Amino acid sequence: MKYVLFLLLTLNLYSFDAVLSIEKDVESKATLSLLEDRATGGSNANHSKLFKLLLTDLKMSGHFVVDTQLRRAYFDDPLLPVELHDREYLLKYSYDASGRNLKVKLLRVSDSNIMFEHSYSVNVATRYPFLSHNAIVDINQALGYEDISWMRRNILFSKYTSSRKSEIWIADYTLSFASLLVRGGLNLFPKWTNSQQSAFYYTSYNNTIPTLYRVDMGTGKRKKIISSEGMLVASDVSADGSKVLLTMAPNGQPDIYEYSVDSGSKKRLTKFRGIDVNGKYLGDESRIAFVSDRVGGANIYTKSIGSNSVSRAAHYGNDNSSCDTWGQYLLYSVREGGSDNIYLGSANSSYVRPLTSSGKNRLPRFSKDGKVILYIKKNGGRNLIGYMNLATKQSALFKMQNGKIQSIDW
Amino acid sequence: MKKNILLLVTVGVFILSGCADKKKIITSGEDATNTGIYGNGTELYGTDTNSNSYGGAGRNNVDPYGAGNYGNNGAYTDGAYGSMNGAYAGSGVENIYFNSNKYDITSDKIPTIHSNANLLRGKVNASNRLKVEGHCDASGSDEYNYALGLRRAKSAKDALINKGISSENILMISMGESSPECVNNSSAECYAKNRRVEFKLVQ
Repeated sequence: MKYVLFLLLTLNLYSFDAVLSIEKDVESKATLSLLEDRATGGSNANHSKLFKLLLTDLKMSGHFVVDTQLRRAYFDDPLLPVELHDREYLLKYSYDASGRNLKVKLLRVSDSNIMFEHSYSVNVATRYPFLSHNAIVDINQALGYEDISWMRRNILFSKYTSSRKSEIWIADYTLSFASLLVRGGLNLFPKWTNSQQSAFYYTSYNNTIPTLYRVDMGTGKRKKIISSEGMLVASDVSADGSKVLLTMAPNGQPDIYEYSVDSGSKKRLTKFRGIDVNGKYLGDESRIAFVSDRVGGANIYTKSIGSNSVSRAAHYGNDNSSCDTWGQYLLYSVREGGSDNIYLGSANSSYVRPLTSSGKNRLPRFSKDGKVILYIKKNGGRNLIGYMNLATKQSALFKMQNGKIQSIDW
Repeated sequence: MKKNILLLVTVGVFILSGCADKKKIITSGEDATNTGIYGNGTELYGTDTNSNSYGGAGRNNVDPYGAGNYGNNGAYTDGAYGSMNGAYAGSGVENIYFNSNKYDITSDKIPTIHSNANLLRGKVNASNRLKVEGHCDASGSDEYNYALGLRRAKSAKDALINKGISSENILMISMGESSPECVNNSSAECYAKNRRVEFKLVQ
C-alpha cells in the first residue's frame, strides 16, 4: 500500500485547490445512471437530498461517470429504460417513507445481471447520509474498485461558538448530517480513541485545570482520564488504541508525553524548553513527528521514541504549526505570505509537494488509508471542510453553517 | 460548576439508546438487528435471493453505536464556564502584550510587570490565587496556539515571581485564541491586542 501511494503521489505533481469535481480519466470510468423506485419516490422530505448525496458519493469515489438526471422506475421491474441502454450500470434504489431505510440494486446493463443488492437502515432519519455512503462504499467494493471506506466514517470536530465557548459535533463527511455531542463552556480537541470510532477523547477547560475525558459512544458514559495545568491535548492515538500522544504542560512547559491507556502511566518524550506539541506517530510507532519552535518559528520535526536526537522533517516553509502523519508521510500547513497552504512530505526524504496554492487551508488530516486528505478552508468568515482524493484526483468542499473549526478528526 | 456535570434529559435518551443498542436495535415494526461493530447481522429479507457474489440481501443497520442520540442532540452539558474565570485582578493591573509568535516579555513591558507586581503583592495569597491567562491571535494552529499562550503565561508568572509573588499562589492557563480581545477583523492591530496575558484572582 505504501508503495502504491508513493507512486500515486509521485506521478501526480499538481495541487488541488479544491472545487467540487475534477473530471479526469473519464474514459476509464464506468458510466452509471440512478433510478429511484417509483413506488416510494418522493415519499419523504429527504428524497432529493439523498439523490444528490448518491451523486456526490459516486463522484467522490472517482470510479464513475454519473448521469445527474433523476429518473424513476419500479424497483423490481426487470425492464431497463431504452434510453439508458448505453450505460454500463444502473443503480436502482428505494428510499422508504420513514427516511431510515434504503434498498439498492446495481444492474449491469449489457446482460441485466444483478451485480450487487443490499438494504441499509439507520436508527434516526437524520442520519440518512450514511445510507448513501455505505451503499456506495459497498458497490465500489462489489465491483472490485479501490476501497473508499473513508466515506462512511464519522467526522468529529469542535468549533468555537463565542468567546470561551465551543461545542463538539459529529457529522458525516459532507456535513449533511451533523449533531451536537458536547456543549457548555470550552470543550476542545476531540479525538477518536480507536479506528472503530467507538469512543472519543476531548479536553474540558471548564475547571481550573484542563481535563481529558473519554466518552463512550455506545453507553454515553464519560470517564476522566488525566488533568494537567495550563493545557492538555490528545494529539494522536496508536493504531491499537493502547497509547495516546498527549501535549501536557505540568510546569508550564508544553511537551509531548506518551500515555498508556491500560496502566495510566505516562512517559515524557520531548524535553525542549520551548514549545513541543502536536505529536503524531510515524510508521511502526517507534518514531513521532511533532511541531516545535526549537529553531525559531514553528516547524515539523521527527524523533525516535527514547532518543534525544531530533531531525527537521518539513523541507518547505518556516511557519508550519500543524502536522499529520500516515506511515512515513507528513501533511503540514505552511503559512506563506497571506496564505496558508498544505504540503505533503516524507519523514524519510526531502520529498515535498504542494497540495493547495492559495487561500487559508489548515488542519490537514489523512484518512485511515492515507488516500484522502481532509482539511479546513477558511473563506471569509466561513469554514469549509475540504477533501482531496490523492488516488482519484477528486476534490470537494462542503460549507459549515456557522462557527469556526477548532480541531477535527475522522 | 466545578465537577458538576449536568446531564440533560436528552442525555438520558442518549445513554438509554446507547445501552439498548449494544444489545439489539429494534426499529419500528421490523426486527432490524444491528450489524455494526458490536452486533451480529440478521438478514431481514430472508434468504439471499439475488445472484450477486458480494453478499446477501440482508439489511445492514449502519449505525454501529446506538446512534439514536446522534439525531437528537443528545449532548453533555459540560459545566457552564464561570468557576475558573475569576475576577479581574483589580484596578491598575494591566495586560501584558506580546509580539507575533513570541512569548518573551520585551523590555518596554517590564515597567508594567513591576507595576502589576506591586499592585498584586498584597492581594495574592493561598485563598486568593492569581490566575495568569495566556492568549493568542488567530494565526497558527490551535494546538500550537494553546502552547504559545501557555508560554506567555509562564513568562509573566516567572516575572512576577522575580518580583516577590509566591509561585504557589499562581495558576497558569492558556486560552489559545478562544477569547480574543479584538474580534472586529484580522488586521495587524486587532491581532496585536489578542496576543496578551491577563491577570485574574480566583478563590
